[in-house]
Amino acid sequence: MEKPPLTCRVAGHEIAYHSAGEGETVLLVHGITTYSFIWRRIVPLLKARYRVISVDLLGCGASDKPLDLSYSIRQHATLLKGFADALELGAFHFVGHDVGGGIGQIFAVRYPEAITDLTLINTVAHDFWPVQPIIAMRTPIIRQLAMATLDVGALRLVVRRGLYYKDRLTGDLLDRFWAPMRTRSGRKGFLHFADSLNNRHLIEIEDDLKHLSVPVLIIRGDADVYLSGAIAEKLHRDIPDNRLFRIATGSHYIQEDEPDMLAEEMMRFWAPSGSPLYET
Amino acid sequence: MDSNHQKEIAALRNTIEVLEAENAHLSERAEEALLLGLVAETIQSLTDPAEIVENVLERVSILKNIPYTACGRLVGHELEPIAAYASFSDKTGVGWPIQINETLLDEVSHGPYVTTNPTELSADFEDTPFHPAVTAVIPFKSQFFSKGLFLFMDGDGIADRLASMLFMLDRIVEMTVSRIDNQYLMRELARLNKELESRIDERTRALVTANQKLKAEIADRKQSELALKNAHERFVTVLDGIDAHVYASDLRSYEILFMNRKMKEDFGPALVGKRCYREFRNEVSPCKICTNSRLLDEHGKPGQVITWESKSPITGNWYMNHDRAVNWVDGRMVKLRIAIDITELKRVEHEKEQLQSRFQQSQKMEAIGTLAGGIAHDFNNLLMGIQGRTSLILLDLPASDAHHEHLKSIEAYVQSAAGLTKQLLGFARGGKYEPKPTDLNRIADESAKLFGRTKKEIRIHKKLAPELWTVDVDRGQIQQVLLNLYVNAWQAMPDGGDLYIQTQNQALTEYKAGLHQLEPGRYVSIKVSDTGIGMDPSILSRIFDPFFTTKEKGRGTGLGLASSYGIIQNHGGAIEAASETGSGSTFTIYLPASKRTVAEEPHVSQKPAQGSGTILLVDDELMIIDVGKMMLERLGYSVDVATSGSEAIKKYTEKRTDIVILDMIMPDMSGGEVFDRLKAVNPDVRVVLSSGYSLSGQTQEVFDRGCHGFIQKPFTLDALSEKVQMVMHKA
Repeated sequence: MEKPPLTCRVAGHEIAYHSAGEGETVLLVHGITTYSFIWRRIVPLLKARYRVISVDLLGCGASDKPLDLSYSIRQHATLLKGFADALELGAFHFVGHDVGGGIGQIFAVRYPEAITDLTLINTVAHDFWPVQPIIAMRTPIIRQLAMATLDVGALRLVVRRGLYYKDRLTGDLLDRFWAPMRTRSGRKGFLHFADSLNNRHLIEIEDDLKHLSVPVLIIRGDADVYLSGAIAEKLHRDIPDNRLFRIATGSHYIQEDEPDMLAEEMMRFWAPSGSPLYET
Repeated sequence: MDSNHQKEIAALRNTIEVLEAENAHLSERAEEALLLGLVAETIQSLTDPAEIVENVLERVSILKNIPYTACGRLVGHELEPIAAYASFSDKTGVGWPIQINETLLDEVSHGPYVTTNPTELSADFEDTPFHPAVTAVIPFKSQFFSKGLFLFMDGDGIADRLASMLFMLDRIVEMTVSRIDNQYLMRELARLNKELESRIDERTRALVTANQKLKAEIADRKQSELALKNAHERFVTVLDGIDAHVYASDLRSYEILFMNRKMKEDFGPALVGKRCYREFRNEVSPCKICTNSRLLDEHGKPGQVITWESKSPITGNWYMNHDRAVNWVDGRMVKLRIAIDITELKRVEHEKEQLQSRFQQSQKMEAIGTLAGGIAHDFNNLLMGIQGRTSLILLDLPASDAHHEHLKSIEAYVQSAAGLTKQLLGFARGGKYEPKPTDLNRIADESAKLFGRTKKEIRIHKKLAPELWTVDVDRGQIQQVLLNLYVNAWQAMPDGGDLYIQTQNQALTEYKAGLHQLEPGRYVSIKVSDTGIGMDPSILSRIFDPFFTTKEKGRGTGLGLASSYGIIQNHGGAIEAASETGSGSTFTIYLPASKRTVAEEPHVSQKPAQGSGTILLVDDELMIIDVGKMMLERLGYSVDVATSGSEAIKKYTEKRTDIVILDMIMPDMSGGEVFDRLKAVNPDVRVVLSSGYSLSGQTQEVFDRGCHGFIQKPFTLDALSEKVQMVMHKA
């Protein structure tokens, strides 16, 4: 039985999150179509050494879903800063997936002192995100996403395409993806989340990334059909202190495909130089 | 790159653009198909109309990226909210109120319409980021919502986009409304079903209740039927147990409806359904005596019970019928008869009546007898005087005397008168003179011969029982009785006929004896039958009355049968007469049998003999004293007289005589008492009793105490001589 989420009030909104383990804090931030559940295979691998916090972004999971507030990446970054402050996380390891990676980039630019490092997994970035154009929701992916809010079959298609190992699409996994779509507020929140995405904020920090003071781990699932491999390559070129780790057997939802590889790579990334983990 | 190459590239680009456009178009169509599928799928799982509309609006909004969709009931120019979906707001009531102007209403009356004119349609989106620029308006008519509009609002002002969707949106609306109506009809159907079910339930419950009630009623009825059956059985058992006839017959049709056991036994087992008059009385039409017409009162209701007697021609028995009208089980009015067999009762009653009648007769006879006896006594005394004087004159008168014949005639008349008084005394109480053990056959035979000699036209048939028991009778009286009967028979057969005489020994039981007011025991009967004209019952009932006669005046005294009756009564016997008009008559006499043997008649000389000796003549009548004294003295006796009992005793005490002739009835002392006193003086005293009455009662008793003879007044000189001589010479 999974524990019910904890909540933290940030700027008048309830932010839900899960916390497990002790040690240096790792904040896991999901992207679009998912929420904190996407980390469920990673958390057990990390919590032995780290205090692992997986958060539900505003409009997602169990967090509030106000529609009169923009769910822009910058907004999310602001809210997460408030969240970290509220929980007094101190300097932590920021891990962002998909949109969560975009939020991490802004967060790192704006609050570099708040984090020790940044891990970007199949992240959005620059103007490549995700596939042009997205704003009017007339791109195929957005249509698919829209349809996915109404039709579990469509959602299944979306998820299936995002997995390398197709057989990992179990009923349980689909149920977790589908859970927010069961309510109108969940659907509206999801669509508002998608509608609010604006790569304008990422383009704005393009130059800032080139001067980023925190080390960055870029993990790219080479089988991701939703985000172009060019994104990871450009980040790898632009960010001063980074490492690109490519996983051939990882698709967009790489946490489902290769959780062990992800966890291992991240822990190696976070480990001080000379530690056994780093060596490997 | 040469120009050809560039041209090719341009051509290819053009081709690609065309293909992309087609591809986009096809995608659009595919998405529309998908949308329709999704909408259909979604609404199939929903039932609430508002929820259906809400879901459809959301799906269209999401999939076709239409920020605001709404549906409302059209009331005048206002759209009353049914549902709305605003992708930009989580608040309810966004967009409302919505007003439609006349122009737009007119437009949509023709079908779906896209408007960009904000005056045609107003909606409230204040405090929202949404500013509608184009609205697709799709009218609908629904059984559930009446008429209304679906609104699809876009904010980017590209009218073409919504216009291109119009057909699809119309189909979605149509589908949705169909679904709602369908649901409405289904709900109506369900409601009607439910109502029907509830009515069926109600009816079922009512039926169950009725059924239970019916069952209870059936149980009750069974119980009642059983009780009725039991009651019926009891009723039939009771009716069958009665030894009377019980039946019911229709008052109008005379149809027999019920018969009890006794009825069936006596009349036949299968007569129900037949006509009562035919089966019970052998009639071909309703009986004249039928009570049916009298059983109902003036209102046609059962009246009084009619009780009457009748004799059944089928059983030959007499019945006491109790008839009354009753309501039969089927509503018919019927006669219920209970008929009790009273044949035996009738017989007993008849016998009782006969006994009564005989008793009355005997009472009457006794009263008349007493009267007649008194007359005869006085008359005899007078005759005694005449007879005595005449006899004495004749003794002294030679036969050649001119008066001799007259005196003889006087004597004959006196005898004739004496015969008359004899008859009277025979009839009178206590008329037995001298009973002797007698063979009745001999008297019957002798009397028959005597009668037969005088009445040649009568054939006499005798059937005399051998070894007939002896009877103690006064032979003369019995002979007189028989002659009376023969004469009676002869008179009934003026042209001749047959006379049957039969004697028989009879041992009468208590019952049989009782019929004749006799003591049970041995009797000798003598039956005298003729083949004459017979008698009707009115004559038969008076046949033994004195002075009753059917003969013309002067031919009969009416004393014959009356004296016969008295004589037989005085002998302790009975006489009865049976006759029917035209069938002759039969007289039967019963006389008690005696144990004594028949005594031979002593020879009696016919001429008065001269005697000697002393005689005390006792009588209170001076006429008798005078005549008797003279007669006895002429016979040679020495005579002393006494006119009272006390004088007689005194004289006898002073001087005993050989014989005392003692009158039974005297004022101072009865003959019996005198006799006892004489006996006290001389136990061997010889007494001849004398009386104007016949020998009976007290006289008989005295006689039985030891008298030596009895002589009835008036007596002739010869009779006196004979009696005195007989006593004088008795050992």
